[in-house]
Amino acid sequence: MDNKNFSVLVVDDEQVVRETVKKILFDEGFNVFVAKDGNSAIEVARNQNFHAALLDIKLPDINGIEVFEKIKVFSPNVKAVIMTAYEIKELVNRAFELGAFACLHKPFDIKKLLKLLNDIKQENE
Amino acid sequence: MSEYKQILKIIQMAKNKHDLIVQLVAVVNIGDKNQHNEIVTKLNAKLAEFKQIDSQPGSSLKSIHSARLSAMGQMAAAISHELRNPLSGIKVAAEYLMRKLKNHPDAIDIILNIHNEVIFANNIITNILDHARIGNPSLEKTNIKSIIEEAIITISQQGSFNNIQIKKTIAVGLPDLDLDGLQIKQVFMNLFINAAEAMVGGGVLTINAEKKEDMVKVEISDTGQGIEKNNLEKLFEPFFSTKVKGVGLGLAISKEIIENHCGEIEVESKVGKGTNFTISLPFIHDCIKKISR
Repeated sequence: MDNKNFSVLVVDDEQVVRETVKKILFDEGFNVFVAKDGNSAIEVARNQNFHAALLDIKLPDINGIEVFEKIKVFSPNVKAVIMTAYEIKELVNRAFELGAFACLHKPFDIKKLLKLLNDIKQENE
Repeated sequence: MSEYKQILKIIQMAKNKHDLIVQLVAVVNIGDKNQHNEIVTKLNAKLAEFKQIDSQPGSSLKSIHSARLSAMGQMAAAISHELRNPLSGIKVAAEYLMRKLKNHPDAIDIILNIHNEVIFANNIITNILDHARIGNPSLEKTNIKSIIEEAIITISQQGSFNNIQIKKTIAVGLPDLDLDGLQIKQVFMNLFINAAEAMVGGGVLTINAEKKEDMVKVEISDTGQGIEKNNLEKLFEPFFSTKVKGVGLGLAISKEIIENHCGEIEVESKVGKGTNFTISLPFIHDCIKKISR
């Protein structure tokens, strides 16, 4: 699958992370969408099928795990990469129970993120 | 003499805390003589108890140490979240610029500095968090040899071990100990890393583990620059570091972990010759049972 056909949703309330990751993924050719909180992420997901969702656990309205649960309704095969600045074990475990693909610890390496997206792509092929 | 004047005189003349309190109670007018005597007797007994605790070597230092560490633990979670988010922004932005400015080596050098500083700042947060996570040890019968070997494997990949020769002697038949393997591994890693960092131009890291009476003793020695005597006393204090970029939590954390296992950690050092840490872990320990409850 070409990167341009691979849709990624980036959800983070930290504007610099959100916008910079968007630029990098855009440069890599991915079809990137962003949201600054959980509810806007769900709205975006209503109209777009996603292959991958990069979700910060702590968002201003609902947490990233709930976002994952809700966007799965629209994109049942979406793979979630959970981002966390502080490991809240219960939430991370819950994410994996729901089928999260990976957990990225902030501050993370872009290389790691790109590798995870490639892994997800390969699983889809 | 009025009570007011009596009290002022007592304060002025008192030779010590004990004397001051007893004398003050004496002037307070408690109508019932029996009740008054009871108060003085109980107060004396309590003061004797305090005196005994105060005279235990290092007791006040220990309580200051624990108080500092406990306060840090409470702050750690909040700080880590609040700092790691903006750090992520800086790191991701630096990585973006590195991609965009591939052909500008001068700019790349500066961006690399930003990137490295973010990693350094994040290491500080990780250290504080590691400390905050030190709870009661989760004990399991553990082979100390495998813990030492795991710690060596984990750290030997680091650049600071490039010119370090590791000599390891572990006595045969050491008994399995009731340990929290992860915590004890962290202690060994801290000590091995410190040793490597003290031997900048290379050297020998010697690890000896043997049974001594009812203890397993692990000695970790380096041939590094050594530690000055006045720094040795402060070595286990939180936030004390002799490294240029040290956070000063590694040894404080290590000491707390070892003491939570009813063990001891000691250090000897000679400037220009090297440093020797000895960890003693008892086979059986009543104190762990108390901690684990």
